[in-house]
Formats: sequence, structure tokens, C-alpha cells
Amino acid sequence: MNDEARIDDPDTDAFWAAAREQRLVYGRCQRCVGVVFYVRRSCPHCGASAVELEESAGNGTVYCATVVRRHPMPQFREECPFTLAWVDFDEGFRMLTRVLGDSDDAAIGARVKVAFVEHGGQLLPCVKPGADAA
Amino acid sequence: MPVSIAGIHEFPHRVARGWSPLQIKAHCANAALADAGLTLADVDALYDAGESGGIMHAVSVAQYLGIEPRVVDSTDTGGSAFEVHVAHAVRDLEAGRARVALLTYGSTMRSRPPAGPPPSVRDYLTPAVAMERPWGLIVPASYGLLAARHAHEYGTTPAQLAQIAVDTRAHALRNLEAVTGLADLNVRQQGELTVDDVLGSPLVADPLHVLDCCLVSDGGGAVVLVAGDLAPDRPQRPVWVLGTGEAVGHVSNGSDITTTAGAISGPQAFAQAGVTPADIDVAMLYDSFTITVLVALEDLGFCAKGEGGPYVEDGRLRWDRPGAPALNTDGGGLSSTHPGMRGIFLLIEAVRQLRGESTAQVPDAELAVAHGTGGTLGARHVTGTVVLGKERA
Repeated sequence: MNDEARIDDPDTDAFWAAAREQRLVYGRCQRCVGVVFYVRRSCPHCGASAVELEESAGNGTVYCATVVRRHPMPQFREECPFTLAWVDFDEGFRMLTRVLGDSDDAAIGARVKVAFVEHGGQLLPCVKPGADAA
Repeated sequence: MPVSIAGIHEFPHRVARGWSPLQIKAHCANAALADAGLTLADVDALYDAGESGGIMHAVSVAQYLGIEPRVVDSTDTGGSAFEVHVAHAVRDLEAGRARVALLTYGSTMRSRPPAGPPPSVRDYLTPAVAMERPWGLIVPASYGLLAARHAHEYGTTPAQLAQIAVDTRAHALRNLEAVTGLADLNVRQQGELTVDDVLGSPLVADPLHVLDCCLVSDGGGAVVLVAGDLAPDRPQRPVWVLGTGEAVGHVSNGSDITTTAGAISGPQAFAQAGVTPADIDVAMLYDSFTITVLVALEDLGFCAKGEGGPYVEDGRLRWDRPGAPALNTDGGGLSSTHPGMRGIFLLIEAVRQLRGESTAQVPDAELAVAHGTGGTLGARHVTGTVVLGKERA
């Protein structure tokens, strides 16, 4: 992860630990079975402190996307332009991520699949065009 | 609701070299109190958004001003904090806990930007932000994501968004302080804008261009509210707080990011005021980006959801066009001032309009709305809506 984003956080650390193993994970409440994302201990649906990690198949649909053309931080500025998107994964969680490749492939509604990219010393879950059938 | 705004002041400069945020706050506080015929000794309720920094920021401001208020409120909801402060001040003054409420703002974001991450990301070290920053999400990108989804769902075009920037610039050019500011800020295009000018400016985060984005300036201001029994004795005619609303929104699994918390805070404020959007003469709507205005127009009910584009595209929001409210008549954050948290300027210009003192004065303006959008649309945000009137309800 980038230094700018690193926090010692008992909620999201497990997400990044899984990413290091090229696994995309989300939360599932063991009481109400609600999907929890971002991952956190306390379930925002029922209040139980019973959220456990589950592994996503990594297939999703672009909810919206933008091409970032200017950035104040040097490590991102040199990567401009790049495409950011909110992606709705098939398991029911929405994650902010980066779409790899041509921005034309990041149209709203496009099917995408997770792809892990080395970035700032961290494996970052991004997406690339194409996904298994929903 | 017998609480009124009795005093206002806006710091005149957009570049304030040699000033600190606290100095700007104190300067504006004293000027707004003088406008209200009061002094710091009269202030017994202090509201502070924390932009001048430090821990326990409201206490630091109280100490700097040399006051020991009985009510202190350090609500920080980003740029909407001042609309939320008005809601809280009305609550406190009506309950009899205080009689004179002071709101202040001071920022040197332009001339002395804080070190480290962009200051608009004040909630940097939260789990939610830790799930956005590593991919490079910044504020304009979040609004770009919102605008892209809005375009997808409703067909909103870049030209429709651009019209908001065009109208707002026309208002700024009537405001000498804004005109001077555009020069002091070295803005590339300082005159009238066309839709083509906006569309020809560089893209920042698709579909938003440079001229869809607010300025980054220094600035500040202050607002004084008084309890009902103090209103009759003030030098300026009172501007009454008729209704308020506040609400929180954030992106979540399956949520619709094109609808903001304004859909809650707006109707709440209008209902309390007993008015409808059709009654409003002046709409002071937070304009961090053109899309911020467009979704506010929809969520407050000036037009239906999804119809913001067609609603704005004929320029009906200009100050001299009857049949629709005048938008951001001081020149807005797009073309007058945006030091990071613009909410106080929405209140100040709304009061100017209802006093008849605006540089883009709507004839016989009787009702205004100030609607703040704090935080980041598309990620997490707080809206505050305040309906103000020339006459008491």
C-alpha cells in the first residue's frame, strides 16, 4: 500500500492481508448474513460484532467510472490518466477500484474481473475487462 | 421561529498573505457583530467548524476571541458546517440557552496550504478512506464518478453542467471583490464564460473540466444570530430563519449515488418554513463543482430527479431571469471564493439579497435558501439546508 494510505486499522488490515495473497475478500455478518463492505467488525445492518471474511469470485459490473487526468500526489500524477470506478461485485458489495487498460473498457455496465497489481509495494485489487457470467 | 440573522461580514480578499485563519475569523467576528450592533461581550454561543486547526478547536477560537460562551458547538461537517450551525443555533436560542450566536470562518488554503494530504480529505485516517486512497481517489474524481453516473442514468450532458459555470461567472463579474479575486488568483479566463469555454478547458476527472471546478482561495466570514427579543433593536433589518434541515449520506452497497442527503434536509427545511421551492427567489447552493449544484437543484425539489440538465440549460438561474431562483448571486465557489468550506458565504449572500444589498440583486427578494454540501458526494457527505425570509413566518 502507499505510505499515504497506510493505517494500522483492525477493520481493514485483513482486507489488505488477503490482497497480498491475491484474494479479494468482503464481509458477511454471521448473524443477519448481510454483506458488509468495507470490511468492519460491527455489522451496519444488524449491529452484531460478528462479521467474518468471505472470498469473492472477483466478478463485477462497473457502476460508474471516471478518468483521472490530474492528481496532486506525485506517485499518482505520473500515472495519469488512469480510470477509477465503483464496481458492484456479484456477491453484493461495491468497491472503489481502478480499471486497467483502455478507459473505453470501463463503460458503465461493463463486466470486469479482479486483477492484482503491484502498486507502491502493495498488491492492489484492480479490475480488468471481462468477467465470468453473472 | 423567532431567530434572525442580525449581522454578517465577508472577508474581502481571496489571497490573504500575512493573515492566519484565526486572525481572519476574529476580524470577521468583530465586523459582523458591529453590523449587528453588538460586541464580543454579547456572544454567549459559539459555533466552530474547526478549519483553523488544533485540538478542541472551538475552545481555541473562544480563547483567541477572549469570550467564555455558555454554549459551544464544534460541529465539523465540512463545507456544510455553517448551515448545520444555523440549525443548531436556532435550537439553542429557541431553548433559551443563549441569546447571541456567533459563527466564524477563516482559511488561508490558497496562500498557506496545509502540508500533507489535500486538506479537503480531513477524514484521512478512517477505514473508509483507507479503502479509497490507495487507488488514487481524490475529491474531483469522486464528483466525476457522480457526474458520470448521472449522465448515464439521465442523459445529463457536459454542456448542461457547463451552463452552471457560465451563469455563476456572470454573477461574479458584477461583484467587485470577486472580480479582484479572479485577478489575484491568476485565473486564466477572468471575463464572461461561454459553454464552449468550459468544455474547452482541460478535463480534470471525466466528465468534469477545470471550469466545472471551484476556485481555491483564501477567505473568511462571520454570521451573528440573535434570539427573538433582540431582533427589533438591531441596526439592520432582521433576516429570519424560517426552516432548517440536516442529513448524512454515504456510498454503500447498491446505493444510488445520484441522490444526496439534500433530498432529506431540503424538504425538511422547506416544510418547517411552510414554503415550497417554487417560492424561492434566491438559491445559494454549494458549488464545489457544477454537478454539486445540479443534484442539489433536483434533491431540493426545484426540478424532478434527473431533470437538472434540461432545467439549467437555458440559463434560467441568472439573477435577471424571472421564473426561477437566482443561483449563487455572489459568483459562487466557481467564480468568487472557495477557501475549502464555502457554507458561510451561502448564508452571507442570502442575507445580502434579503436586505437588498447584493451586487446581483433580485428585485424584492423575499425568500432564499442556503444549501451546503459538505464532505464528498459519491463517498460521504452532510447537507445542511437553511430557508431564510425577509418577513417572519
